Amino acid sequence: MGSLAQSLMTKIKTLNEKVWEGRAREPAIMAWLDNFADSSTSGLDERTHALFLLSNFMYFGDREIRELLKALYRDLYRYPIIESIRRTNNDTLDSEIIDPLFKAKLGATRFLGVGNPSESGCHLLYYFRQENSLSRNLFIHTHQIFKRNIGFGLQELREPAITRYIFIDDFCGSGKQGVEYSREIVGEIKRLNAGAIVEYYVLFATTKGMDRVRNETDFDSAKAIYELDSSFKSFSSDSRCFIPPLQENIDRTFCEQMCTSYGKKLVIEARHALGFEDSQLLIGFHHNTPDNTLPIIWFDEPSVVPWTPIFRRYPKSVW
Amino acid sequence: MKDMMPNPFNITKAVDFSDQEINDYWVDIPSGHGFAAMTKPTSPMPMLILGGKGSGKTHLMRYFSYPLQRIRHGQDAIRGIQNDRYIGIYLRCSGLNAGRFKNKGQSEEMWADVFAYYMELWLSQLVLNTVLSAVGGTSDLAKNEPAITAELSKLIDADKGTAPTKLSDLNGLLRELQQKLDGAINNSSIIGSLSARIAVTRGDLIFGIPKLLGTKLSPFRDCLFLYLIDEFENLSESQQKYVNTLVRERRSPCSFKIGARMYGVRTFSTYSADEENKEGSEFEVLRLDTLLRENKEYGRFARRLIGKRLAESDRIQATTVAIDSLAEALDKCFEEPEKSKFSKSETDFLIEKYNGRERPYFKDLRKDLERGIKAKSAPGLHGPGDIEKILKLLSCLEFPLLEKANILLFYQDWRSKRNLLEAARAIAGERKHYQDGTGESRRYKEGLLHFRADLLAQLYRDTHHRQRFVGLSTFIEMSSGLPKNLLVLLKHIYAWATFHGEKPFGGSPISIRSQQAGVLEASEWFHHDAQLIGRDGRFVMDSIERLGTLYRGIRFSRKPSECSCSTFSADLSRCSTDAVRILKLAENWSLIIEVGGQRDRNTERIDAKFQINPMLAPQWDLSIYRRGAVALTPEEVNAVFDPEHSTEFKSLADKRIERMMPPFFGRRAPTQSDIGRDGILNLFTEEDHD
Repeated sequence: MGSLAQSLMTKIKTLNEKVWEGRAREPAIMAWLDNFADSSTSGLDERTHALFLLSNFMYFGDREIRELLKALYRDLYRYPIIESIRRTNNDTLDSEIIDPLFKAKLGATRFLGVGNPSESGCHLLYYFRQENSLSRNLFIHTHQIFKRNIGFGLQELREPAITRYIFIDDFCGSGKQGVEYSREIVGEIKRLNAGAIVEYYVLFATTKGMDRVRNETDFDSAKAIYELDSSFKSFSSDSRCFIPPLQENIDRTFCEQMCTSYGKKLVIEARHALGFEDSQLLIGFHHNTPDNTLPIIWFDEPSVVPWTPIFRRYPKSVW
Repeated sequence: MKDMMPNPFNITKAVDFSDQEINDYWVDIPSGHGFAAMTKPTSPMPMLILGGKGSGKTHLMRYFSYPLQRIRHGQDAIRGIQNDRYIGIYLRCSGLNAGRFKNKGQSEEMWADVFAYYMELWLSQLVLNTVLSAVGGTSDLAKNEPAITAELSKLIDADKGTAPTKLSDLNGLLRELQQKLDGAINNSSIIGSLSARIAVTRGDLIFGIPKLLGTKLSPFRDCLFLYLIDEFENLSESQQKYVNTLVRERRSPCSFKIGARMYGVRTFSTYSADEENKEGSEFEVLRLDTLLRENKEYGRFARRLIGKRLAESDRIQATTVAIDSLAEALDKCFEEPEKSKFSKSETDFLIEKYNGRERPYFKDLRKDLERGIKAKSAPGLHGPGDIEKILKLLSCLEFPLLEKANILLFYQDWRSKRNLLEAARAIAGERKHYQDGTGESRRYKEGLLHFRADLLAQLYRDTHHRQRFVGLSTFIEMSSGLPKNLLVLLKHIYAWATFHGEKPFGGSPISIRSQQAGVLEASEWFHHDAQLIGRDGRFVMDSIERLGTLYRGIRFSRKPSECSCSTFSADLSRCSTDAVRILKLAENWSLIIEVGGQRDRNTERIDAKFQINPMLAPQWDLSIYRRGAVALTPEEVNAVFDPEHSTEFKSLADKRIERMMPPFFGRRAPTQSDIGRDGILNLFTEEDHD
């Protein structure tokens, strides 16, 4: 192993120990590196580039996700409501005025996960409730928003007193899911209760995805705790992975070509070779790795292509 | 989450431990009567416990404090204290926030008085809390408490409201006075004045409470009240002067143990007519890391320390015997190169790597000989044919270590003006005798005995391999009496082994590569952690860098003057004031270690001797062991340590190392007049200085 690879391995060892929850030890890394050629015609080394990318991988473990869920509740939900209560009450600091009003607003709120109950958005609600000490009654499934009036066969809101619906998700990459939700659910809520506030909160989102949700949906607001701008896109011109001066023997073009070439072999559509809709991210969570991350990191379908992942993605099987 | 067994060596600072953990992780040194005999907790003579960062001062001092006594003695704490014949009251100076007691428009004298008063209040509360915890609820206290409280109240000149009848009330009063003082101090910069009324005379409570309790309460009869004042370095000079005054004016039944870093004592002066406390008269000194380093049982102590950590991490309630047997087996938990004839197993890689190619040290020798012939400085050699003969004579394909030994002896002979062909023939003979175990080969045997480690180090360096700092004994040696260093080494080794997919201490031995990676990281930590703040800090670190560079130059020269070079001796009286000052700072910060004296070869003078801290050895691929010491001239010491002379370092270091390099070995290149009629040079006429 060359000195660059050695120093990258040292960095990775520290990341693994301090951040990655011990999920990528050397034997797993070596097995992952075996996916790549040990030399190339250009004289640049694929494995060193793979290590370089791995050393830039952002991972959010259980502890971090729980903290972010606290921040999501506190910063996106609680503080803005308290701010509005204070504003309408002469900027009062009196907790005896603020607390009951906030409690009432909370009672008239329902939190929902985005996606199928088995998916990560819903899975996170459990921790969200725990970390923020919220009552179980504040959480519903999407099918519990509406009920069908038996006499007339029309859809109506199951709890008309609810004035705020908060949809929570862990990740917004392209914004596609937010748009679909808005089309299917948000419009209907608004139709039945024009005064209801429907919001979309997400832990991580790309700027592009959030823009899409903000512009193409009926959500009253869409907010993210951690917004990923174009610098998080691995091979963008302002990529934070390739900030000059780069180490000798690290080449952005070579790296991009390498990831594209392997990515095309791994995913069905070439446009997803660097992650869903060319997201090019290097991010993973305790509970899963989003498909917006480079497929060389997470691809794990040996029946399709033999490939050993380093942070595997649990795919959404749809059979 | 993958099986994330916590690293048993993660915590390396005693301040991070709870009282229970201090007790659980306590390990005694297996010599004499252990640490108690060294620390003498029942001795009325105050003691200054000096030690480098991580020498175990805090662990030791907390071990003798009351909360630990109580844990040790369980239900019968009172009887335990009576048997101990002391009760320890522990105070960490960093908790005082001592920086508050200065400036803010107040005079130094005012702050000195306020600090003394504050300490009086604080220490008194600590004593009362300790006493209440020990004898609270006993009939002895119930009977005597009103009288004791009344007596002590007399010492406090403050409005007491209803006269306190219980010690806890008295303690409440002291706490109230302290809080008022806190408020006055904290607000003094805002208000512009410090309104405080001193209600207790210096020493009245600190010495008065123990005296009265010793008289009135039977558990404290014949019991020493031991004030354990830790982190003394966090006090300013005037604050230390106050503590020194307490030490000087000590009254029975009280005594002090004061823990400080080696650089931490700013003054020995007191407020008793500015008299200075003297070692041996007012206090004695325990130099903890020196004591551990020089203790023959340090190795056993270190192994016990590791054994205890492992037992605790496995939640095993191990007895001392079990810890000892665990400790004895520890060496096997670290992979070491297989012991083999002439280090064959350690050098086999080279045979394979250079199969069919000239080995790197022979390449170097060839170049040296070519230069020598060209410069007419290779006695007895005339052309390429002679070079080939020499290389062949010195070759020993099967044992690279012996080849390196041959070459070292050859360079020694070259420097001693011998005919090189004859020298090579003689060495080849000696090597054969040595290898076969026949005939006379004393020089060869001694050469290998002294330089074996250096030759192996050169082999690794020649072939771009990492130096091997492996094996538990190596780590213990590297820690140089600082247990924290040992724990840091093991912490990093453990982490690397886990990362490499190994199960440290739970199966196969920890691999050499995990040990190497861990040692390197620990060494980098030590180097980084030792970075001092400020101008002097920079000077110290630069000096250490120069010293390490010099040692490396010597170790990897063709003909090192000293084996295992990591030590120097020097006549400091002839060095510049700044050089000595920076050197002493480096010593205080444990970057270099004083290792006694050395007689100068020429003058018989005893010179001071210093070793670079072995934790730093991997930074320059140096030896962790200390054998030969380089005698540095005052000019060289100045160039290393005095920033004013640092520009001279390179030329002086080059000059010294040139003396170990062919073809001239530090002498001038020959001129035509140096060459005799027979064409053989005669240049070796200058003085040797090695």
